[in-house]
Amino acid sequence: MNFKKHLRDGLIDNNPVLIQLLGMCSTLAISTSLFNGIGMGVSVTVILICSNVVISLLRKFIPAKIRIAGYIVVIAGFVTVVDLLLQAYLPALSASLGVFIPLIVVNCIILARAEAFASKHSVAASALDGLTQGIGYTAVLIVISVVRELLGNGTFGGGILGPDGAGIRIIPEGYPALLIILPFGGFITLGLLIALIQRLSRRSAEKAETEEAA
Amino acid sequence: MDKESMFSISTSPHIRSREDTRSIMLDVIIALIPALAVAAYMFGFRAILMTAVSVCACVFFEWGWRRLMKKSNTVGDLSAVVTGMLLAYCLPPTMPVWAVVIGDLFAIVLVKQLFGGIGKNFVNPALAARAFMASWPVAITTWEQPFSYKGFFSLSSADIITSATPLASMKSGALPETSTLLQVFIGQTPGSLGEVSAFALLLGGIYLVVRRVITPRIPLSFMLTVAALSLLFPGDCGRIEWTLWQLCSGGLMLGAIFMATDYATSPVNPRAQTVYGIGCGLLTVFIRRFGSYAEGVSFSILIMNTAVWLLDRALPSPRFGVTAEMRRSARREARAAKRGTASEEVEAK
Amino acid sequence: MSNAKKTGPVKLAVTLVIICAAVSLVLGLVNHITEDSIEASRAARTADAMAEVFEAEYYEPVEDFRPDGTVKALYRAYSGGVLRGWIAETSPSGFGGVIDMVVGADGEGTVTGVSIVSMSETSGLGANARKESFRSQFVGKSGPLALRKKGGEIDALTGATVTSTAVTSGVNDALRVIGEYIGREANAEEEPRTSPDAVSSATD
Repeated sequence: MNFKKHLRDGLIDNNPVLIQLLGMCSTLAISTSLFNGIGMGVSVTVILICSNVVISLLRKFIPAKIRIAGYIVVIAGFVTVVDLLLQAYLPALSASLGVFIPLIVVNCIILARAEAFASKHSVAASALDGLTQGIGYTAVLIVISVVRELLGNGTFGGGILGPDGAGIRIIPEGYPALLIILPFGGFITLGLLIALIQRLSRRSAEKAETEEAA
Repeated sequence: MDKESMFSISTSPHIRSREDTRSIMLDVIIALIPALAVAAYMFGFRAILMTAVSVCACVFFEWGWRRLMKKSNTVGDLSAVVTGMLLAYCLPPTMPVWAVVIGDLFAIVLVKQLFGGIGKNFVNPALAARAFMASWPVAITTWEQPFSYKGFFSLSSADIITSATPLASMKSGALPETSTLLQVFIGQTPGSLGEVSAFALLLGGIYLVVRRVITPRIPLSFMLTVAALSLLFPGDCGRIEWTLWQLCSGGLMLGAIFMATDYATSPVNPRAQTVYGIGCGLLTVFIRRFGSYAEGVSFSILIMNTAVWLLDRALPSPRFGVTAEMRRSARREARAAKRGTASEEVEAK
Repeated sequence: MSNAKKTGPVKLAVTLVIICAAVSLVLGLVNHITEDSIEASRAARTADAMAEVFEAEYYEPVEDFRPDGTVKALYRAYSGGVLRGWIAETSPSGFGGVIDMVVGADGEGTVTGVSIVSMSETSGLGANARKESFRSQFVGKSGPLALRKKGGEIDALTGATVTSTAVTSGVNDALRVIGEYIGREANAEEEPRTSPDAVSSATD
């Protein structure tokens, strides 16, 4: 029951990207193919769970004055670990995500969850929070990646499926709108997705209100 | 009493006018017709077809979206027709029709309706869509040579001869050898469908000024800025010649007369309008000379669009009844007050 | 915060040092485990790029090479113990930044292949430089190359003259440097043999 509530929180009600508007930089930059989206999402989720757990463990140990410095060192440590592991065992993903893996250190989602949640809650709750927030981030990345890859490149599953991992071609070459793959398309797609979520949540709130009134 | 007249009350003085959005848009459409005639003469029936498809698509998307969102329908104000025409005008005549329709969708739904519909968009819909059309980089940089169509009604683009636009040649500082200044003025030059004929566009501009649809302030400050900079920094030819070429080629006339003057995305106050026009002119020259694109009119207007709010606030027009003498004394007082507080602060320290 | 424990500067420093030390320890461990695989995959990537432009048994970097123009590194390619060709790593500036590419050439200074390792050119335009149809134009050519619109023999990519010019200049730089080394090596090898050769030709 608690897990369900947390999951809903991470996915919709308190989604890190769509509602808290955190971690936009990496969301806009790497959401150009399904492979990138999943890879970045899973990397952030793993780092988020680990850093949440460790920071929750250390919450009584780290003095308040230097907590941010402490968090950043812990987060940077985990990011570097993930970066090294990717370079060693998934070089293709590492090359395609490029500088955005090291940049997870300054991804606001991780520091925000450390400060707002992990430093005040138990280890188990923090791990759960890391998992659900990570799932929320990954879900948004996947949605944006699929839309941008399809409209901008005309393929689905780039990096994993299709011949040479180039993705399954759905729209023939020459037709997809190139700009959708470029940063411009990231802003437009993210903006539309945020608008859609706002509209849906407002509508469900209105519905709840009318039901209460009735 | 209908809804319209209920809300038309403002502070005095009251001036009654028969003017409405529809009549203004109709004037703009009339002013755009000469350019379409020249385009049809230069590029064949394809130019008319492309404009017609673009207009129909814009009207359809506007109608469809308003209906889908259960909002009052605004198709009747003809603003979607103008957007459709302008978008077709700033595209190469060989642009595939399906791409034009996607551009229309972008202009009407994303740029106009998502921000609340007519009057609420913060950039010009047609120009934003033009920028989006860079999605098909080859199609948007392929320029048809006038009169290279086989028959007037031929829609095949197989035999069409393409060539560089005058601005592309002028990028390196030299005038193009393929056309003359007179040809460029009349419109016998490769370029976007509706931008080629400076003559037809000027004709439309004069009509709009005479009908009081636009004031010449923005177009003139825009063009004069471009002219002044071209005169100061000419290419490998005479200063006057270079200036005339700069004024007549590319989308300058179309942009300055029809796009920079769009009511929703240009300043209201006269001084702000002048600064806005000068800004457009400066950016156009900068992009033409230093940018990686040969033409910069559309980007310069888009950039200045985003500064409209700021310009209107920074350069307000004086309130009714306030004389220049009153303004001066108010400024003096403000300055004196400031100096007073400043000296007090110094003393306190 | 009034009842929060006062923490002195020494405790703050010690806490941070402990955290840093612990993290460093973990990082050291992970680095130790992954080092070999990272090195192996990096070497494999470079070898792949080299094999694409000049197939050989092994490659040996030219030790005394100093960066020259856009050419960053130079390799000799050997097969059966004999020098077969040359590979140059070069980085000309394109439209969206530096284009990292490798150019292979045989002993005569004729291009055997061009491969683009990394670049940030506009996709759909400049990024088409990766396409075989563009790169294969360079194969079998030598001497200074130029785009067709400048009177040369290379067809530029549609809408991407800057990128095409950059790749061409990268190939030219590589050929120039390789040419210099071929000349130097020929002189070095011929010198000891000059006299007997001269003698034999004189007797002929």
